[in-house]
Amino acid sequence: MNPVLIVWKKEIRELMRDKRVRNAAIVSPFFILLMMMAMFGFIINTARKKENQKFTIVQADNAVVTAMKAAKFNVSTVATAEEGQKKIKAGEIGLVIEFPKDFDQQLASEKPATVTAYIDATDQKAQIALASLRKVLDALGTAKLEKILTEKGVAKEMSEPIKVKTEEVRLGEKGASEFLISLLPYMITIYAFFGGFGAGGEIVAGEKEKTTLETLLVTSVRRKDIAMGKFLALASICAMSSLSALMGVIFAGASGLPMFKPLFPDGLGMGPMQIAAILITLVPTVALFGALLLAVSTLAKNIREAQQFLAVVNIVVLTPAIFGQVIGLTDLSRARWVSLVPVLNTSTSIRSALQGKLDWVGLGLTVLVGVTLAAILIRIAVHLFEQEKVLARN
Amino acid sequence: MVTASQLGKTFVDAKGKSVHAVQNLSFEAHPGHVFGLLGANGAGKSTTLRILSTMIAPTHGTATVNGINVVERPEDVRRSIGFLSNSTGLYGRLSGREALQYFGELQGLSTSEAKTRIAELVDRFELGGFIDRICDTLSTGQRQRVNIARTVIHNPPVLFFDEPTAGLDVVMAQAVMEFIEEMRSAGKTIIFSTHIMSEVERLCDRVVVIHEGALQAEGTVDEIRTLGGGATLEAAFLKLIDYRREVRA
Repeated sequence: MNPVLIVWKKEIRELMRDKRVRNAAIVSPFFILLMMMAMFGFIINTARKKENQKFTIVQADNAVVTAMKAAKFNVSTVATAEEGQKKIKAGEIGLVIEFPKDFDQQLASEKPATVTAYIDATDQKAQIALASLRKVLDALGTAKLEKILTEKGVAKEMSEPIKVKTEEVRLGEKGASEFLISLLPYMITIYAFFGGFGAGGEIVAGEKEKTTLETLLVTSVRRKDIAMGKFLALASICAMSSLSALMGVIFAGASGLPMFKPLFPDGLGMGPMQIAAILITLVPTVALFGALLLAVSTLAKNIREAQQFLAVVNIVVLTPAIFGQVIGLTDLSRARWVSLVPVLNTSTSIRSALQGKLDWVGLGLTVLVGVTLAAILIRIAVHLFEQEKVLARN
Repeated sequence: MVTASQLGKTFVDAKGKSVHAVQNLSFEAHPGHVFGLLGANGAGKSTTLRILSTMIAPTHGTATVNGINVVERPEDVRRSIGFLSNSTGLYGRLSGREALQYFGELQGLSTSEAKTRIAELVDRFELGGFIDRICDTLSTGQRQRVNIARTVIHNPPVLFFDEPTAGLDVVMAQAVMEFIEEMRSAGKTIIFSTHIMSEVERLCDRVVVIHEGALQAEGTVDEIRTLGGGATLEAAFLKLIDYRREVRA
């Protein structure tokens, strides 16, 4: 058997027996992502339920309050607006609504009415409840306006004289949900790195610390082959990790389970082409991370030092990955140079694929940059591995 | 056979100062003999063995192992040697059998050849009771036995032992020395580094005394004793390395 494959096989076998590596590379990406999505789904489901939307009304009895009670909103009352504000300040409630005393009469006599909302702007549940109230009041206002217009002989459609008609135009044939587009590129890229984090510390620095490296270096295998076998093992672990994250998302989207439904209202929204594009993007990314981890591990004298180095490398990897998550808010997502920035280009390519837009030039550049950088880092790692200093443990 | 000619190794320390770990060391070790490198800690024994096993390159001089130049054909040299030291570790999450299979295949044996060889070594070193256990669960003695088997998995003609009994109990140290004697009888060229006089007296056919990287004396144990002018090998050794000057320094 090829010595590179012998080393790879042994490393994978040994790493897979390490609970920390197994958890970081396989268990955690799949289950943490699932748990996170289930949690988001639960929060959205809970927030949407009318009985969970709490309104505190300053003592009033009008058509809106009756309608809200009938619609099963959680309605309670306070005697005065001041009492309501006190309760908000005490953190007991987040939203108090004060209707004018003669609200129904004002509406009936065609006078505009002002409803006052006292709100704790930091309370997200209060914000959601206020948005629901606005919907109810807007509908009521529109109905009133339509009635007035009809009585005056004007077409009721004039209640909204200018309409904005929105039609979604997808970038490709099929696109993933907004949630998936914002989360998945970041998670897949990050997990590709963090999955290999533990293994990276062990693979060379661990051998120095446990005094097995000397034994390995006196075998007839060239150091270059040993380094390549170790690189392949690290790249495999990184790939396992991001595939595990991807599988978690596919499972959540395709399962149709109620807890995931709010995040995937139209199912997974990802076709074979998108998945293929993600996989193509992942190859150079895991190669790049594998080479980076190997270089760091070879440079370090022991596991502790490797972890210290990795903490710094972490920032270099995290920064473009985080930026990739919010790049859609800027015009940069369309800039070609983004395809030349490692990690950021991976995020952007996955993002494009999920939007249903297969940007083959961007994908090609991402692969080219990833492969080139990985080749340079592998060369550096092999060079470090061939140095006599590789045996230094202290 | 192993030869060293004017072998030297200079390191540069963290302060940029040159440290001559080995200086102009020359010797010849022959098949069927145990050649001892005798020296105190830091004398240059391990560095010499690392040069001979091609882990590090000499700064000057030449060396051959089994007739192969250590600088020109390092892979071929490593195919001809087995290396055992007191600090050589085993992979904690592999079983003894998996570790032997790994090193067998790395040394060029096919999967089936390695399996056959492992079966022989399991019998020879009585590894049967623990060979399939994860190395992390083995005792020091059991690990050292697996390590000895690892050293000879590819049946090399040359063996290097770097203080192989350090840290072992009397029983295990005895087993290691018996193994070295057996390998000598099998016609292997053996280089044995130690600072334990009784081991030198028992095992070594010829000895070089190294101090501060330089050769102080070479000969049989008796010749070293005479050269040092001591009643015992230990007394002769201390005289050869100028022990009193060392203490004063």
